[in-house]
Amino acid sequence: MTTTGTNENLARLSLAEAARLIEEKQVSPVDLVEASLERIAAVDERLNSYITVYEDGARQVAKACETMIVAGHKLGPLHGIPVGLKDNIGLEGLRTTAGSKVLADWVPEEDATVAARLKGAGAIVIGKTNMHEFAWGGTSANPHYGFVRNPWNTDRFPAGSSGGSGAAVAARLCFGALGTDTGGSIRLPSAINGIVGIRPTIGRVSNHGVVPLAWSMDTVGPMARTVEDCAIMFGAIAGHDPKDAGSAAVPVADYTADLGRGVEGIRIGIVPGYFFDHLQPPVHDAVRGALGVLEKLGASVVDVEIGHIHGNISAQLTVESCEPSTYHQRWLRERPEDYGDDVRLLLEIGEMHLATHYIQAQRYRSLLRREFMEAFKDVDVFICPTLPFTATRVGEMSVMIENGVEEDMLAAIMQFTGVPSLTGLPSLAVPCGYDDEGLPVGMQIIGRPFDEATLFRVGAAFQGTSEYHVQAPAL
Amino acid sequence: MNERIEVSEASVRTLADLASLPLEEGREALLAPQLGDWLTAANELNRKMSKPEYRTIMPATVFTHPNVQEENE
Repeated sequence: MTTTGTNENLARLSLAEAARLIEEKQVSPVDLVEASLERIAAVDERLNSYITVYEDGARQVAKACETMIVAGHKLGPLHGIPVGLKDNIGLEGLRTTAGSKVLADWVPEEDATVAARLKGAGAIVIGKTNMHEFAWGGTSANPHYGFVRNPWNTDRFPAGSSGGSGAAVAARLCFGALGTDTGGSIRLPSAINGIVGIRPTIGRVSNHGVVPLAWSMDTVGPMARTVEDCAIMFGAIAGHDPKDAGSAAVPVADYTADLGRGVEGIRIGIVPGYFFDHLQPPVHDAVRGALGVLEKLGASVVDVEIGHIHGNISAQLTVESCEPSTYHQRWLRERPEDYGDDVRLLLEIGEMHLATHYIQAQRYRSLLRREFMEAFKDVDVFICPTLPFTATRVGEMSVMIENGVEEDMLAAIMQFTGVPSLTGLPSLAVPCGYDDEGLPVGMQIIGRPFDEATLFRVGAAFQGTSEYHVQAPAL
Repeated sequence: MNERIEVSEASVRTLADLASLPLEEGREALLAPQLGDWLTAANELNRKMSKPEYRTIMPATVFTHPNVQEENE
């Protein structure tokens, strides 16, 4: 098997390119793993994106993958591709911490379904990525395993909670990664690190074997450098799982089939008075610019009234507060000192809502979903910013969006990602620009239930005319 | 309009006691401001969702698709 190129160049290949080169026997999985490990050794001391790296295990699997492909046996679309898993996704026999001290020594007895499916498609799990403790927060400032840092500027945060996955993918420390998303935890670090990530329709991807945050909103999804890469990974993990009672028995599409179809005739909804209000100017300009590009490609942009959209942040905070506090109830009483300060405080507050607050929030979700479903009679997707600001400094718990007003980080960061989380709709984060300091801006494409293929189609059309997804941070 | 809920440290202590949550001394002051913010917003949502026009709205829940064979075992 002949491998061409230096490890540095191999690490910069897209997942799709690497997979094609493996299939053509031009690149060995062994060399891809070495390239990723070399990048991790070179830069991860500055990023802290991994909690555990499986050097020996990854090398062994890579050798086996090489033997198989030389023999003409390809496991699947991810054969020989090094990937990262957020450390709340269980791997049989390997420590899975959920970024916590509480689970610091937990070793699952089986793979999470998504991990098993990635392996079945040929992926090589190179390590477990750092995250906000128990996924309950958006900064990935982890007190137990170190603060994750943004590869575009290591003084800045990577967002979260899947901040390690976001930083690792952006810095070329793996070819793709899995994250989990409850209120925005895949899409936020995707936007802030300049990569692509999808929150699937609720029920599309199995949660079996994943440490929960809030059962009614939790999802697993892929994070990658390009829309095509993300679609390939998504195809490998999507589909019904009898082990997960929340899993939906809905047929899975070929998510790469429509990537080249363009957006001629696609109707894009925007919500006036919400989607483009209260933003940092570079975010406003980048997302508006992306809409202009899509219009030039043949899409139409229409205003859609979603009268109930205000109130979504409160509903999110209530649901995302009460459900984790239920899951953590016993540990919070037995070992409260083992939680980081911020997560402990959030878990304690979650014990102090009334049941009526929680149920009204769940009723609000039905109301908001009904309004979006009605709107989807007139539009194919909605587009909005992923979050209203670019990367803040590491460790900051407040953010300034406009008019010099400091706002609470948690509420501010959920301004746009909460809508798909509450409604169960799929949402794709795609990079669409930079601010004045060169920090990435992302847009969010929201679609109908189980219509992830259209999101990939729109995202791919945009990436066909832009180069944000091929830019790499200079580390 | 939002009626700001001012949560006192004593109220936090009472809520913790009612939930059998052994709150360490001094944590009341940490929790009170954020709890006040969140309950203010939650009460505003309560008022909205209590309106007569939303009386028929059911809560979203975890939609389960149980494995029938497993359930019958």
